Amino acid sequence: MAEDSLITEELNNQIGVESKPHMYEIEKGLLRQFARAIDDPNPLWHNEEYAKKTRYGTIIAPPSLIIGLGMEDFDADRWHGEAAVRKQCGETELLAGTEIECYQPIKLGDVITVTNKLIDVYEKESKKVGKMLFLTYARIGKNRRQEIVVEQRETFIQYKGIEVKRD
Amino acid sequence: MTKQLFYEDVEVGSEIPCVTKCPTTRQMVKWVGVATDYHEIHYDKDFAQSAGLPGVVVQGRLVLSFLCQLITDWIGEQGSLKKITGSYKGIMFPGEDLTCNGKVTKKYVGDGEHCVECDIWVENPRAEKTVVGTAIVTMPVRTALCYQHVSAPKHLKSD
Repeated sequence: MAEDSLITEELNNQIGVESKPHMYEIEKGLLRQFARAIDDPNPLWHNEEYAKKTRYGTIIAPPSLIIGLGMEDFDADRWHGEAAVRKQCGETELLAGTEIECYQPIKLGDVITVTNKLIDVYEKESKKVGKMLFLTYARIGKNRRQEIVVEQRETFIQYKGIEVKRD
Repeated sequence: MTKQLFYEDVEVGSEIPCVTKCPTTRQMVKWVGVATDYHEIHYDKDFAQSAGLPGVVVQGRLVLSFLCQLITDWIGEQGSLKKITGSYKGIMFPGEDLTCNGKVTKKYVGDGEHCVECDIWVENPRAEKTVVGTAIVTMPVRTALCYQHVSAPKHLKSD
């Protein structure tokens, strides 16, 4: 590890450390509010009469639910950095990308337990903004039977802020 | 709901019917509430401007949920979205139309499932791609129905 690397021992030690589990109950109100927030009228997410006749037998969550579930807990679990590293790579943080893998549908009445962990860290040098730190996290969602139903991976970039021209 | 789509209905190069969304600040706040995604650049104009932005910006995750809808609308109730990815390439502002598009890149049978892979992307009104990604879905097949209409070749027929 280079002396001026942003990837300190403290940060390296965070890789693979699982957060405490967060439990989310998949209630009718949550599904209805979520479908309204994303403005998706698909009856599978909210119409019980319709959903009863489908292969699911009940309303299910849209596959995007995981990226709108417990983000406050996820933010709290993420690495917030040592002062020295933050001084070098700055305060600017961008969400670079998201992946969702769905293994089983999330149904009304399920209880989903989500754990968050850092799974990868690397750095890059950019001519424009200097040092950039990339952090990839995994969020694993399990059902009551401890089966993985969904996985979300997200990569964030931290770097020194740049001036964006205002109109 | 729209008619169910089958594996046989799609070919490499098939386009997914586009979905257009116009996220408003009201929708963004609804998302903040349900997702508990409290980053100020999505609802506090002063904060966003102090960060060098012209105003509040639309949540990338909210826009990825639009791409999920593009796929779930297309595959219907009997299809399943297995995987979706999105890279956030450009800042998006409320009140602007975002068009979600997709195109089939691959179809194959794997582990007994009929899989279709697609490129997906979001365009702003200036035709800039603001989110790009991929999706993998499974689809139902018509094959079972087709069997009823196929007669056996002569050499297989018993006299």
